[in-house]
Amino acid sequence: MTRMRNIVAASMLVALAALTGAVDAQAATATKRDPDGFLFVYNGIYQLDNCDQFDGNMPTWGNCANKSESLWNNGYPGNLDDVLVFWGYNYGGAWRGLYNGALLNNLSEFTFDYSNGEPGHGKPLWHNIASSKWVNL
Amino acid sequence: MNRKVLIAVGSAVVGLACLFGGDALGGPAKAVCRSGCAGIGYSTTNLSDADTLHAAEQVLLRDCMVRAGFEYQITPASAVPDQRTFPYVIDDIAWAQRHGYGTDIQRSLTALRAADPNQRYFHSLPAARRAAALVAANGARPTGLVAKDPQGGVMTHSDQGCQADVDRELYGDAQAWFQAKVTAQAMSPMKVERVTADSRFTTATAGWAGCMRSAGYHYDNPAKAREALPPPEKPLPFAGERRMAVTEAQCAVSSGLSATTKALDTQYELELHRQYSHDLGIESALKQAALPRARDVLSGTDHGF
Repeated sequence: MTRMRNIVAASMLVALAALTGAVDAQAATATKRDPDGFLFVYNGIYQLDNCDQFDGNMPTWGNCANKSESLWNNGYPGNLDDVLVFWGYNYGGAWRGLYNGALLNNLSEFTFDYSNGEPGHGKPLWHNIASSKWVNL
Repeated sequence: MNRKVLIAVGSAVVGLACLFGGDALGGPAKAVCRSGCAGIGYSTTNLSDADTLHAAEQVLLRDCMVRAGFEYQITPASAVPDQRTFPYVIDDIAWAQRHGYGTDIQRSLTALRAADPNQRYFHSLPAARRAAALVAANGARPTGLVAKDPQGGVMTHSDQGCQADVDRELYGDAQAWFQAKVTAQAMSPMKVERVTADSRFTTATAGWAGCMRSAGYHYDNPAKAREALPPPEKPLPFAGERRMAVTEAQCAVSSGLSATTKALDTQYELELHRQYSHDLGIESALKQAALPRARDVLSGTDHGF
């Protein structure tokens, strides 16, 4: 399975950072949104730079795809309140579970599970998540 | 949160109606049901240990949320019949005949979340109440409990809120339980990884691929077959999905891949239990200590508040 990566966008961000020196300052002041019952996706470690928050199943993470560095499952408890994050779009490729209420502050510490041998298994979650789905783990 | 399927026991219909907080009768979970449950009592005789713990967690969570001013309805865990996982290869021919690769089950699960009474209740609340409900359930911040998985990844969870309170109430030590749970839950993926890295698995997979090829499916291994499937939103026509899944299962049995994976699965499960015996022993001890408390909660003799 193939997937597009945001290489161009990432390169542009790096270039902008070099030009303005603003990225670090922005990340440091990035807002932590109030809890609203979602999967919180951050482009920085330790919940910095909240990229988006997803309520439903997300076949594509859009601008957050392949950029996330920390994750918080703040879903309201009930059926299907855990999350599977996927290496590929449309819930493709390898996956990894995130339990309700759990926070992963640094995705470089985690890898995708074997996941039936799907592409991406064993690779770090860091900058590699493209879709997500609510499940019972 | 562990959400093993609750086993509904025919002889405990009244108890279950109460356990499900009146939801089975169409009403929301209220404190009034709690007193009703205490009056009736609930037999756990026919529940497995895992189901007993899960059910007690749910009762305690509901009661905690009610005390905080919110509703929480206990629902049977993902009650989609026949939901199964096949981490290596589909090897249940009858299951494959019923479900193909399980896209029907995936659709049911998606519908289940949309219909979940707790999600609907939560989304019906005004924004400020939603935020308060989350704080009540999950704590204000996901900090206070810290666990390291066997591969070194650090995850945290709030030590506040009803979910942490439930763990504290049932298992005695929320921090120890969080660490034990994280370790235990890592075992299955680690086991699958070891099985699939074993040369006996690779050898057996070659036999499976030959069988599939003779049926017109050219995949080197089950992973390649899954990879070739379209996304779940646009599945194959079911007849085609079922034909391929049944062939996968038949080949898994006839080639010996199924037997090989079962043997390797057992072998590596034992190996992991030896390797992580200390941590898994703690998990087991916490569960055993929690079971009497869970039975008391369910029988209504001790709600612990």
